[in-house]
Amino acid sequence: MTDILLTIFIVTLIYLAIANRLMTYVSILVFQGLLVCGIALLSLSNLTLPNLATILLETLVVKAILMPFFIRRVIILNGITRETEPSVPYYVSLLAVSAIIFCSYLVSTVINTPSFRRIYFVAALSGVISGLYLIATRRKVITHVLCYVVIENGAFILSLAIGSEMPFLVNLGVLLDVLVSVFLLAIFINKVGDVTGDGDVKHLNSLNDYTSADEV
Amino acid sequence: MPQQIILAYGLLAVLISIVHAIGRKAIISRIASSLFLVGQLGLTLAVIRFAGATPFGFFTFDSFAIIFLSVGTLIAVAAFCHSRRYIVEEEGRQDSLVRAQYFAALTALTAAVSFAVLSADMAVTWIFVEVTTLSASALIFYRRTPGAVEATWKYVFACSISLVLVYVGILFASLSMGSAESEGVSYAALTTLLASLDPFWLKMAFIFVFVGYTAKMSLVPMFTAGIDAKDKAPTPAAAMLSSVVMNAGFAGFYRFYAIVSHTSIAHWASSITLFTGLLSVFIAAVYLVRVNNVKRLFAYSSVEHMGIVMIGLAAGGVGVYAAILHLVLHSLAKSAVFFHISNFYRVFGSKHISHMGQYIERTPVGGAFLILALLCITAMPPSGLFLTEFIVFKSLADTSSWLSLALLMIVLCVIVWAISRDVLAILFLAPKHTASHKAVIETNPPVIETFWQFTLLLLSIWLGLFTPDWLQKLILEATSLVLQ
Repeated sequence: MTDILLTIFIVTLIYLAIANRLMTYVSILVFQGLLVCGIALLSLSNLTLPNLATILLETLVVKAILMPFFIRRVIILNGITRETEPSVPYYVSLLAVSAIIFCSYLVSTVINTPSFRRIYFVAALSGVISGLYLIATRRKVITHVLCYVVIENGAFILSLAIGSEMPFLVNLGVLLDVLVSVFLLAIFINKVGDVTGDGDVKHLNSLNDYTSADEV
Repeated sequence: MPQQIILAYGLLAVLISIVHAIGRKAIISRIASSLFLVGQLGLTLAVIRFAGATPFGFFTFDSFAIIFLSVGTLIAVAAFCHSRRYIVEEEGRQDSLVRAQYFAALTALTAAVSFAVLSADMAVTWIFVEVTTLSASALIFYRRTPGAVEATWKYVFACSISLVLVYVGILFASLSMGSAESEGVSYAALTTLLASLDPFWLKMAFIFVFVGYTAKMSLVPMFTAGIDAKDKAPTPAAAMLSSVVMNAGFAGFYRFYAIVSHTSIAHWASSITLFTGLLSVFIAAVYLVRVNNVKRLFAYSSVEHMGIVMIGLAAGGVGVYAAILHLVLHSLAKSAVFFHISNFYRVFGSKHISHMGQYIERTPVGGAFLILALLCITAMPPSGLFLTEFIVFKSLADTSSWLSLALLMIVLCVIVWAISRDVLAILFLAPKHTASHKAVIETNPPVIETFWQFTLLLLSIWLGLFTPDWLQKLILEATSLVLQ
């Protein structure tokens, strides 16, 4: 069952590569949040109550409900246009993400740790690297935040592969990371929106080495 | 007792941050800052007093921690003193809420950096480095200008992504421990399992941890966000970013590198470190040749120095000693230089190099400082950085890395030329243009600032030339993590 969910997660990455509307991204994030929640519940045996609470809070509440809702609100409030505006054609992204998944699979064939399931590794690594790729090729600031959450999802799947024995501290760390950084990013979008107008990163290029700014 | 000290300090930092954020009166903020600095000094003395303790198993009071905590405390005290003055000069431009946030964030940053160098567990280091991102972003955002928004956005974003990479690296490190993973990812647990660590997972862990921490250490590939941040942050905050925050990132990397250096992938890891170091110095040279903003000039110089630290670390042997001493001296000198940039703005009304000139005539004291600073950051004698760079060259020669040595020397020549050209122009030549608005001209910088800047700079020279026995002993103990 976890294999099916992980495979669906990998498929969502391919879908992200060709999705051309921001709201599709948000929907995929909700879906990924649910998937990650399912994977977590299925792969972690003998969960204690605090652990279960942490995982539900992290996946269901934060990743599937709060964050997409928050980002959706930012999109609507700032009147950001619906297109994701990639800087490369969609088919290139499709090829690139497929190549990332394939390479992750190739790397995973080297693994000889008996207790470790390869598909977790493939899903996690392709999640992290596809997220980085999508950030590099999408022009809107809001898309960057969305892709950052994809990277977080990949990292979370990897933490599940290690099992329920991970120290509670790390779980707490992830929660802190998700809560603080994404909320901070989302709040910032409002400010960045004020500066850029349409939320395009091309306006965020005033800082360089050759122009002056008369302030310290 | 060490456990209570850690708890008390943590509690103090949280309380003082809250007091700063709530009590917006200048007097409250002044008292709170003083209390926090007393606490910070107390922590440093306690760590020295209880050297060797490992409170909770999450923190360690070893020599490495003592060195960088002491350096951090010294710079933090100077940063608070400079911030007070900076805030006074900004009077009327910002409301009390913004100022309250500034001091709350500065307190949080100092505490987070202190905890990061003290931590004995990969996950704990990671959490506190994450806190430095959040607190530093509040400092960078201080001016609320479009430039500040842009710099903060880039810094938060690049650092968040980098720290996710570090997190993935920690998970890989945990996997490399195999069945013993339940013990957590403390450096001590990893050290006891050295022989049984899985090389594949360890290599993956090293790549992710290294790339992740480069954002904090100002190295290739993630250095760009740090440059913008140092450019746009208020000068006292920029001084913190280019010294103690870099040290916090280095602490995370160094403690993991120390473990990797005892495994079968040691050679592979040191090759990557050497390559990154060389590339960072090269990239810094490329930017330094054309940069026209004095804050970015010194920020790129930090990239260069961190590159040299990495090269020393990778060369091994006496190079590791030089790397740690170099980082200590660089932190002191570079923070002093960043503190002094406030005075450029007072005199020239700009941070643009072409707006500056004849500095030594306009402020003799500032001019004298700048000459000394130039010697330090270009690592010329009598600066201590000259000595450490020389030892790094020697350790490269010892390992017969002639190509690396030749490349490093050529690139360093370019860097010395580029920095000297700009700084000497500021000192002696007439300005090419005048700034768009009138500057507030002072003949000399304020006494308290002059005191701190000269103290830090002279300390950097003295510690390098006449390294006291106790410091040598501490550094040798810190290098034993890698070399034992």
